Amino acid sequence: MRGTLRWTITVCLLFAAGTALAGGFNIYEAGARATAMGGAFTATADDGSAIFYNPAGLAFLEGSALDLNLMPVVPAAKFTGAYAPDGTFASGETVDQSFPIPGLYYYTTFEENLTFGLGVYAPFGLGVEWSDPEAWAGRALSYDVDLATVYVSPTFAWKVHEDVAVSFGLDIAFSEIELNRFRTQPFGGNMDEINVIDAKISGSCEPNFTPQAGVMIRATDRLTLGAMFHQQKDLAIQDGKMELTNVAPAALEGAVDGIIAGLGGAEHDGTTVLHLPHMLSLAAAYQLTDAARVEVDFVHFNWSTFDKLVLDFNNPMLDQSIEEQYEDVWQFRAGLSYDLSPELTAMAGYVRDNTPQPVESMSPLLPDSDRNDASVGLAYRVSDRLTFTGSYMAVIFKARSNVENGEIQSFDPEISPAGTYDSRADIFGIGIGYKF
Amino acid sequence: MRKSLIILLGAALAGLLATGCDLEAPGHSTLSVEQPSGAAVFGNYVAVGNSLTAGFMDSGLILTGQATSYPQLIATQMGYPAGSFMQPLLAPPGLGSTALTNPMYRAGVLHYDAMAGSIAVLDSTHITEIQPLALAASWPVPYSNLGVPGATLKDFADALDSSTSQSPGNAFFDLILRNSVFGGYSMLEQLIARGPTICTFWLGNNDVLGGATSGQPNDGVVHAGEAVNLTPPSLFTAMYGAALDNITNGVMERHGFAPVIFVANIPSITSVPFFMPKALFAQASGIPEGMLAMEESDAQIVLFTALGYLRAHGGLAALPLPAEYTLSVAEAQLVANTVTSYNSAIAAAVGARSNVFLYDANAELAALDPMTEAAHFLVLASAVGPQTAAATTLFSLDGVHPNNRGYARVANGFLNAMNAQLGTDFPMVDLATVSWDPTHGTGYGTISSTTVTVSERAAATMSAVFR
Repeated sequence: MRGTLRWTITVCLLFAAGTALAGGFNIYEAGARATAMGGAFTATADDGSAIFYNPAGLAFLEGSALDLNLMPVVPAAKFTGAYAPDGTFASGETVDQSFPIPGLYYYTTFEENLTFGLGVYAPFGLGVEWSDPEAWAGRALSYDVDLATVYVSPTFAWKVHEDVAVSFGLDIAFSEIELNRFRTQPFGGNMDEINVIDAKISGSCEPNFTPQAGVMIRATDRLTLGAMFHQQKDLAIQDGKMELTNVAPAALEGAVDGIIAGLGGAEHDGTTVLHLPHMLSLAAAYQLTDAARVEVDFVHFNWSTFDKLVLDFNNPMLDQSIEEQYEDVWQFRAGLSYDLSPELTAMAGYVRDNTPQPVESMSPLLPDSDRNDASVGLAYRVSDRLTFTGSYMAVIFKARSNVENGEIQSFDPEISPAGTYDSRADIFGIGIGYKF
Repeated sequence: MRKSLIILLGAALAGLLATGCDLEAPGHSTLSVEQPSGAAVFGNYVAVGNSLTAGFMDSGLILTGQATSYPQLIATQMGYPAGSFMQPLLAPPGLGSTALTNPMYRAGVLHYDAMAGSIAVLDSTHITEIQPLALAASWPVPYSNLGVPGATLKDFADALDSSTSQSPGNAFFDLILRNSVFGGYSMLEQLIARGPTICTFWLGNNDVLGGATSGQPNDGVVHAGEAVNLTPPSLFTAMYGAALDNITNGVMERHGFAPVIFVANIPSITSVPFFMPKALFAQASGIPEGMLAMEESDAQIVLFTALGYLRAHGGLAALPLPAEYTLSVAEAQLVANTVTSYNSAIAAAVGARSNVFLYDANAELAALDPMTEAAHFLVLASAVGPQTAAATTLFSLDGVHPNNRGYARVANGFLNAMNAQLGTDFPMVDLATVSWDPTHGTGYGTISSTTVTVSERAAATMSAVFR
């Protein structure tokens, strides 16, 4: 069992490096059905993905079930640089990638009022790889970044009253991070910006334990209220590494070799702490008719915990403090489901997602902006036991420029490219639910 | 109801996918660039020019001379930290400007050999050992001091290396512009790439000095039928204005602001000890003026290198002095007129441009006392001894280029012009803190010779840079 779990986590980490799908690098898409409803699921939470959206919902379920979701995310970002005085401008785009985000859940009811659930999902992740990395204007900050965080969450849900359930569980996080950037240097008679050192920073965190909890109240026959909370995390990465590769042209190769030797070699150990915000969802669902249900969720992230990323290496000359200064945000999520027939349910959703990222930390690492997401989906009950769900969500980012009044707004104006980012992501989802 | 909902969902899905298939590149923003003002004007100083800008002295470039090049001194007075104003530094014995008898060796700078009482080449370097002398060869960007010994006004815009310069074989172009590594960027282009907020520009000297130091200056009239070796004033005027405009426009187009440019004009040849009045030469050579026979019978000026010629060819026995060592009345007039024309063109070019200012180097050098500050070291040394001579003259052993103290004077001239024109308050270089060692570390010894001699090799080194 332990081996299987480890394998599962490894596979999930491999896949879960997604682009930022909800503000910052949160990925709120933990199941196909919830995603089809715009993630407005905390007051519904009636399948295995409740382990993320509101584990208290498990208490109202019966029997045992396996819910397996795969959410292939296809992100894309483009950058258009500001005009330089000579009329030139930089441009760039990310390479085509897709990240299958996992949402694997199992729950079983021990006795009438107590349900146990175990989920594996990836609520935080980032994967931004820019094409033509050697020439990409933002390569001094990042040309390829991957962050994968997988939560393994065991949880218990109690039905404390006929219409009231609470849950308590653990979020056990596993995380891997990799950042690739070039150290550049003006070179030659034309002062061209050339790459001299390719730096790869990588690390993984120790398993990190924090609590999570949920509550669901069936207030009336039609109205359900729900709340869920995943506590913030401070992921300690103790095994960080920085690898420096000399990529300078022949004329500078010797000098750069000297610089690397002066730093103490090509490999360095380091540590960092990655701050992940809490997730708090307050939700209400209303059964309009026997067939139609709406839900509205307000989701809070205390992103202000992500104030900076401090990379601490054994050689202090390599230490870095990357300013982030994120701000707390509320998201608005609304979803609608409609039973077309006893077998077929159609769903749609909308998300208003305000970015927690100040314009000064918008960068090739993560060019975030306010988003409007729209989603649709269909669930098909093949039998009482087996359900297939398909979903699609379009994440539409607002184009955002870090140039205001002709000046770049950046915590790192020397190496941050000035210009406008525009991004979008397509999230496809498939889910298979099987009740035992 | 159900059918219409399915259609609606289908349409919504199609719409979402349609917008998702192709992400359009976002629109442009524009970065504004401010014209540097106040202290920002001095944020990025770059110097262009010829040997005078490079800190050339004692017939070569060497660390100890470059340390007091006027651009370095200006940068220091502006507050640039040591080492931040990068120059093409050359380790001892430095690099002189001529080929020696053995083509496998390059001459270093000249020094005063106290034992022999003469000027000689300090040391020479095998051609395979020259590269290690270039201490800043791996500096990744164009030098802050782009002065190239031998550069003419045309070279400023056109020369990429020695072969494309007007002085083929002049390796300083290769060492300073470094296009074997950089590709192909002229002094002008390297200056523009650096994005100077302020630059000093002192070029044009070699457009007349080449002819003057050849002893046969020619505008096509004085020596009809022979090669012209002076840049015609009309061409000089056009090239000078174009050079200034190319700097301003180039920096504006690439960096979005206009640089401030300080230019210096062309000193008269009579201000420098290399060109000696006949009487003074007679005194220096120890040959009575009446016995100084010349091929050019009306010779007015004798070149300092004639001392080397006399020494190599047996003194009196070598007379009459060949024409290449003297300037006739007509030749001296031609050179003087040319310098005057150049300086008129420079004054007009400065007056017509709001971002260009003049340092009147010609006036400053002309005001020097020819018997002390502008006397040649050896002439002075024979009277007052070498230590006092070294502390008195502002010129180096080659007789054309200032010594350390002379360059400090030039730096102060530029700084004075900057303070006057820009309202700054840069302190002057304290000349008491700057000294020149004509022995280049070999010492004065105990013998203080009063004979004035120049080895032929040293004489060749002295003038070669202008040819």
